[in-house]
Amino acid sequence: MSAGGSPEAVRLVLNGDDRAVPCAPGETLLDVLRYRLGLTGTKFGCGIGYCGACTVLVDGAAAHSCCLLAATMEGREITTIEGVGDDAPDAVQQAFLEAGAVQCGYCTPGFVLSVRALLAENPEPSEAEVRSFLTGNICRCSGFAAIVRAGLAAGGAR
Amino acid sequence: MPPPALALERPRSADEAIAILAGASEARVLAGGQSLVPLLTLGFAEPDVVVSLDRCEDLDDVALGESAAGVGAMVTTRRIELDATLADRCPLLVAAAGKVGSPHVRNFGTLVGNLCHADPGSDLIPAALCLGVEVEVRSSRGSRRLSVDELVAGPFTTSLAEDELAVAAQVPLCDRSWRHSYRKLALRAGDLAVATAAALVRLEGDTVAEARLVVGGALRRAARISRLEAALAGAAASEAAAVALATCWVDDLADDLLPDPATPPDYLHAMLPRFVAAAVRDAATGTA
Repeated sequence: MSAGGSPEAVRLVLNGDDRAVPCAPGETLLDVLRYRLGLTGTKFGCGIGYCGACTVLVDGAAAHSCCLLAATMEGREITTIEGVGDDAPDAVQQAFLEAGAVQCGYCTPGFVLSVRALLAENPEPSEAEVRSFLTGNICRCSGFAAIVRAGLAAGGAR
Repeated sequence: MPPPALALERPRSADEAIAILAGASEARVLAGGQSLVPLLTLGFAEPDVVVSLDRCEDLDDVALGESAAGVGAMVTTRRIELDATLADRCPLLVAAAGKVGSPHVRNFGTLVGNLCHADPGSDLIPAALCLGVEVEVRSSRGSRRLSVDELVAGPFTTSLAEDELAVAAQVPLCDRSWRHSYRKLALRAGDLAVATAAALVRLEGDTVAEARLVVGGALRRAARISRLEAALAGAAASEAAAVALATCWVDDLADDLLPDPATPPDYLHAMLPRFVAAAVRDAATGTA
């Protein structure tokens, strides 16, 4: 048993690197990414699995990192926005830039990762499919039309 | 928010999980975490021990039998949504699975976890109740099977004892003569439901031979609508929606309604009959 709040290590494959990361039993994956590892590209929004600002990929699948206990992610492949693109933006990020799909930017990392998850399973989604998949993300600036255009363009670009 | 202080157990099998639950007090079982982790974060649930099933590979199977599919406690909603066999033999469950939250939630949340969370806004509870799903429950004292009606006692309340583990849901496979419809009314896509309706209709020729109807959402718990099921038996398929609208059944459930400021009682009394009639129409005419 891992007791109380004392940290143990969890092994994660984080953005391609095998890492042993300290975490307390009650800490979420979001807590560990932001506060233990300083990967602040993953945003805290609602904390209850509604807004999608904390979206990461777990084994390639879109996930609300606020709704997963980090200790239960043993051995899983975690991709955060820091693991997307290299020196240049990747195709999804480029599509967001070209569509003007970024306003305040707080939701953008989550949306970019969700679109990547969508395209991995459905490389050329329809507009309805993009909209349906993105129910897990909210843009508080309400810039959804441009975000959906970016998702469609990213699909077409592949 | 500081993370909640709790102890975490990660057993490697259902047997190990049951042994832990037998010796624990104030324990909560964690499957996909999509409901429990937010409750922990908010401090609405304060268990001493969380028993995570993430390493229990024996709970991660869909076992197809002749007449039922055994869906293990760690099988995600997303897996049900994308399962070709279930889409063919249990399309009502698959339709409801596709309405749960967002893909993010469905990737981790599980059928059994959803049933045991007993949220009135659940999509899977009304579908499971309509289908006659049974939940297999085990503890160190033995095992039992509960219908969804027996499992769900009220909002966020089940009849499970503290040492009991729901290990699987037995989902009956439908004969293809049954048609289905699942409808969800939510303020925003991905929200919990204001209202849900699950319908199964079996036709003989152009006549409804049998109907199973469940309404949920703004109710303490989802419920079969037996008065309407009886009224529909023998009705012409093309008249089924009209029969549904003409049958006064909402008063039967009036004590269980959960109105709130956005959905007051007079709204629910006006909306629910039309909403359920639309599900009846879709099932009876095969447009679901």
